[in-house]
Amino acid sequence: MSDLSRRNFIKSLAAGAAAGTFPGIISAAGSTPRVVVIGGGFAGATAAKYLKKWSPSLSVTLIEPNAVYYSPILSNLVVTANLSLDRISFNYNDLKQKYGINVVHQYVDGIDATGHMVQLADGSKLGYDRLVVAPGIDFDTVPGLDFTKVPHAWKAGEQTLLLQKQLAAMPNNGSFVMTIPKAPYRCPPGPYERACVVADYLRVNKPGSKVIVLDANADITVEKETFSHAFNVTYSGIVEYHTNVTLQEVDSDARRAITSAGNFDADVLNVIPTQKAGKIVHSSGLVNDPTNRWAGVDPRSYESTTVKDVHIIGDSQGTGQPKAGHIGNGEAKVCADAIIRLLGGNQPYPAPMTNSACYSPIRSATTKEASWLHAVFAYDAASGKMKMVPGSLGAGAPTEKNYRRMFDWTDNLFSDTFA
Amino acid sequence: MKTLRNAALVLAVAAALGACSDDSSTENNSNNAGATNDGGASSGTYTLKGTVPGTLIEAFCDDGSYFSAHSVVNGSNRHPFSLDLPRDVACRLAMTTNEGSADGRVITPVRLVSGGSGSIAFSNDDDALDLGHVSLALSRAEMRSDQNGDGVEDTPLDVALTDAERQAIRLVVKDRDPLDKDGDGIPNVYEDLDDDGIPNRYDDDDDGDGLPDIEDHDADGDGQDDNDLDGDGIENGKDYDDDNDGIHDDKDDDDDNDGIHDRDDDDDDNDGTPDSKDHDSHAYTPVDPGTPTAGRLLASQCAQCHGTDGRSRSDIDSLAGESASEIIEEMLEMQADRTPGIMDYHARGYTTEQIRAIGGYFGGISGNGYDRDDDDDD
Repeated sequence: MSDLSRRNFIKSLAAGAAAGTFPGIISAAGSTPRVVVIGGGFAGATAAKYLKKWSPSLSVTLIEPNAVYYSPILSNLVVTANLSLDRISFNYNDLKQKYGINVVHQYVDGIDATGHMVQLADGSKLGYDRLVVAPGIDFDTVPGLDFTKVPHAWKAGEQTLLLQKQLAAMPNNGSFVMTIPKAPYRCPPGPYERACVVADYLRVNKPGSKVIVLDANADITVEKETFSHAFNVTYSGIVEYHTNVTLQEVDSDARRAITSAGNFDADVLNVIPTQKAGKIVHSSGLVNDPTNRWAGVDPRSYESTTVKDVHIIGDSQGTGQPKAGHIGNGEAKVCADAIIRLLGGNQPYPAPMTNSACYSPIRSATTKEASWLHAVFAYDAASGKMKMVPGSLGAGAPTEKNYRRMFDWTDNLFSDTFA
Repeated sequence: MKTLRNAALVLAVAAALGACSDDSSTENNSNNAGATNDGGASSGTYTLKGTVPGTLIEAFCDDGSYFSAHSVVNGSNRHPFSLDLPRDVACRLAMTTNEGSADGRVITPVRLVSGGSGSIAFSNDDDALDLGHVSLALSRAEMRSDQNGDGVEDTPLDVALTDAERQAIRLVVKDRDPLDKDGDGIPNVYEDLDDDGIPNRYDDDDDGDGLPDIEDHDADGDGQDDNDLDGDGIENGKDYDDDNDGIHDDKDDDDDNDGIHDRDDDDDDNDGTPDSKDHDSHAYTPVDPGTPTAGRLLASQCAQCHGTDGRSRSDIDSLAGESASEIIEEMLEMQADRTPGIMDYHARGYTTEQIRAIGGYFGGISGNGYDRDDDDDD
């Protein structure tokens, strides 16, 4: 009950603001929470984008050594010269300018998890409250293998162009030999897709040539119906498919694959080696799965099961979900959402969903057709794992319509990640 | 107006309050300052409950008393709140999401509807009142209508009462509500008098006359001395809480809210921690963009094919611009498709509840995608 002027109100308002009417974000320094993302592929770039999109007050730094990213998705069509490399090239300008992400083009030397610091190759250090690690894959060493002579072309860019060039220089009646590693590896249908589009390329451009597929697995790992039909019918007499073949050594100059099933000489040899989490994941002590290859994480947040405040997404994580760009993008959003919740003092969303979807070109030389593969994954509280939802697994036979749809899909996937 | 101080609900005060002798169904135009505040019989308080997305809940009551509470973050998109209100005193509710963001906050006045009639003013004589879940706009983009861009919904949100609730709740339909002078369902404090895009409650100069409210004795520009510190429509003399800080003036040794510590209330936000040790006495639960929702997270998994925020850049359909019910209906139909395509398999991955959350999210996003001609071949 008072008769007062309003003279003194502003003071209390200012005091209220200073006392922090700001979101309940916890930060040791009492300043803006810092999230650092290592790796600017599908998973890392998406994480950086969505962290900033959903929580603009965060400080987000993306560390990526390369100024340009080349998408492995669609890269088989660069190998066969259906597409130019430009078509799968992305820079980080939108992430910088539209979203205000600090992009640092540096290699990472190490992670100091105790000190919450990332050590960069130039000697500088970046502090973080939460760290996202998304370096993609690394390869097992194969004796004698020299990638400048025998490309893997499993990380896109120069390697894609090298394989394209070697293929173009192949003689008629030549031999294209490729090896497929034991699962899990990046992009499950990818090697079979490559065998198909290379076969189609050779059929038209290098008559009499063969594609010899040496698969370390006991059978085609995905889309068996589609690829069996392609190998046995569509490319009958061109594709020769061998199972349970283990690569032991390579003679890179002679382009010879030395395997458990004997030696295979090639005009073009394409070795896709056995895969594991990126180097920084291994060197930082994040690898803890039984195969000693991948980083164990809680799929509700992708936080490491061994190192606090460090999250691993994309191909390096070990949840058992497929390793591919589309689902890496999806994991990144679950991770970004969880980090925002965790920084706010809350728990991650308890029932995250992801999905894997992929269109694969099967024919591209004259007739153009693609197949597709799809599944939804849900967090299973009982096992603490992501599980495929029964009934959501589907595959589509190669059609021309699906080939067009493939580009509609990638247009949105690429822009959802980089733009 | 800006008499906001983030002192939250003070239960003890609320319990001590409850005395209101005004007949709230008639216009309060009396000038007999202080005459009515000691006569009313106290009938205690009741607890208003419900869930909201992450929100400041405020109540403006006939006796000038003011109550507020923040919903409690619980990891879901339905945050519970409870607010103790005086029994048998008509109060009006306003719910604010993103209160910390001047250009992102969304204020939703609430109207209770029973049968054919509704009112923002209501009283209750039961022990509790549960509003259930109140679905609020989480961002300006999701608002139903905001012609003047002040972040206040142009019309109150209707919350329908159940039969049981109708027994206890009295909707107080007023010819002339002093707390809503123009009778549009938006309390005075959330009008935007000078149409500058800032509602009065957050506006330093309600009438835009250049004279700051703190120096303006006629802040509402009606030519009369207001004698209404908090601008709620109840003159100070009749106002149990002159500064709308949630503390009854009898208890508030800082009626002018000048920042001097309240002796009688050393726990301003009633969280059990004395203010002297409480670094969180002004905490609130932000929604946009700070508080994630299940719908947003689930819907983000659509973006790989349908574009960020459902705005497609290719021949794949945009989801932005579709209503929640369209998306829900389509996905449920897809689950049953006998010759499933890729999206039909996708729909099978989700529960009906998840589909509703996804539909609800996209239903709140306006459509201006890059959709090229939809050849409808999916």
